[in-house]
Amino acid sequence: MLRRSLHSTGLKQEIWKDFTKRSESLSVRSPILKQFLFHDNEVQGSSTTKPEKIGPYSLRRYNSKIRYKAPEQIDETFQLAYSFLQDRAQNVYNKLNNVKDAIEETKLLVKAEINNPEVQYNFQFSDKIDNNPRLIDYNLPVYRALGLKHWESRDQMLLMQRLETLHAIPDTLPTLVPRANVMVKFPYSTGVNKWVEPGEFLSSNATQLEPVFKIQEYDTVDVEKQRYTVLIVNPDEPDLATDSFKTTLCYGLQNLKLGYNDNVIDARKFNSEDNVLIDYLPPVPEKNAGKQRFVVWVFRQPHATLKDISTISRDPFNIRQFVKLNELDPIGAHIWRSEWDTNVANVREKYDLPQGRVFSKVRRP
Amino acid sequence: MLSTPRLITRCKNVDTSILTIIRTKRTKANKNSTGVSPQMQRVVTQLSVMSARKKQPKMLKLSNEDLIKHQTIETAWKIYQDKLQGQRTLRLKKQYFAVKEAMDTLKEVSPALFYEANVDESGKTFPMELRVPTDAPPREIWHYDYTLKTTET
Repeated sequence: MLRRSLHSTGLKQEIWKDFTKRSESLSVRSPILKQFLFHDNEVQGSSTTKPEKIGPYSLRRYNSKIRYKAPEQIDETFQLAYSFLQDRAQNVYNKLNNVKDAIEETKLLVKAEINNPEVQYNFQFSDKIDNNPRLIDYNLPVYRALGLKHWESRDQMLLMQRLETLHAIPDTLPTLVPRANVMVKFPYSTGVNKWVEPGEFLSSNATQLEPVFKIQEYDTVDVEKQRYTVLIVNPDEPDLATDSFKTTLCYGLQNLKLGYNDNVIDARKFNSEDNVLIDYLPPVPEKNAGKQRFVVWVFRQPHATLKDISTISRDPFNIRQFVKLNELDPIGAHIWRSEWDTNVANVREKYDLPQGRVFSKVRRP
Repeated sequence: MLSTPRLITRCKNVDTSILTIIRTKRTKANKNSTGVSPQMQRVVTQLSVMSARKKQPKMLKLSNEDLIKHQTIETAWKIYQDKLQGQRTLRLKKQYFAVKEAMDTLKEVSPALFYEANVDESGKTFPMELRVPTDAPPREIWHYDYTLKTTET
């Protein structure tokens, strides 16, 4: 009772409820939800027109609401825990005023907000990929830290496993230290309207138009200055001259500008003169040539532009040489696979490509 | 478990000699041959019939709000315990260094006392001679004729 009266008179600072300096996305959006989260009787009493609360806001059905029983004493204990954590956050914010180092500042900003229940609610119960910046704003270090942890818990490991088992590394580039989450989608009527899982087989019909990428950065980068390059290479093109395989370039984008929230790369995001390094050539595997890997590589550019763009060759393409020449920093990758199917002929016709070869088994002497 | 005998007869290639437990028809003679009481046997049977999921403790169903509240409480408790642990470690460290400093001084001032203070006392038990003041003393207050046991006897 004493604590509550102290709170209401404003003797105690409540940093997590003060939005004069802090971003609005650090709080839950719905006022009713907030009421349920903090068990705030004051707000409830003032809104006389609203029906009396009967159960948790997150439960939708009336029956589940009335059947639900919250654990005993959870609200009181939560209040205690909340004020304890909030006091610690206040100390961190006080420390933050004297910090000049940018890395240290980011660390403290994460530390100050990571235990905030509203931040945790926003992150855990809203879409982390197609994020709503009003709920999950990746411009804020705390949401980036949470996003990184979430990515590392599954998708990053899955990607690395697929890249390694399918030998995309070292067949294309020696290795990858993953730092950005790269996602690929073919959002057309012919395509698959979902984020493709790394290593998935896609039909040539689905991949006939260029993919849309989403590149989620978690590191602290200079968003205004940093430019990105995206390449799609196919290391499984049959090379009859050497009786082996060669790498070809399917798609190249350069000098892309990304934001933390606005990071979907589609045709609206770039223009053909400045950004398209090489036009999209869809996967058209030849019959009996086996499965082909299509590896997407995303790089941070050290400079605003790339060197020797005019001399770039699609077939064969030496990705290691290209990366070395431009000092590109690989930060993320993705992979999908294609095989010959009955749609290949149609795709070839659309792109005015010659008829594909048909390979057959040859007995060696 | 219940269908073990049938399984064995069906699988032709299985070497049945290595399978030692084969249930035969229950008769009065072999009813308690497993050494378990009938009540116990009933419990075992019931548990074996029940699915594994039902044997698990029931999972708490929390609404989203309460889940967040629960996590917040857990975090706060963990941080608080860490704080206490840190304080305790610090205190112990201070005590250790204070003792070390005192012993170093003693070593310089009086090596004989330092040696005495460091005699190994492992295996030493509480001395019988010592008495604690009590509200209900025994009838025989003090064993006047008590002598310390010698190693010869």
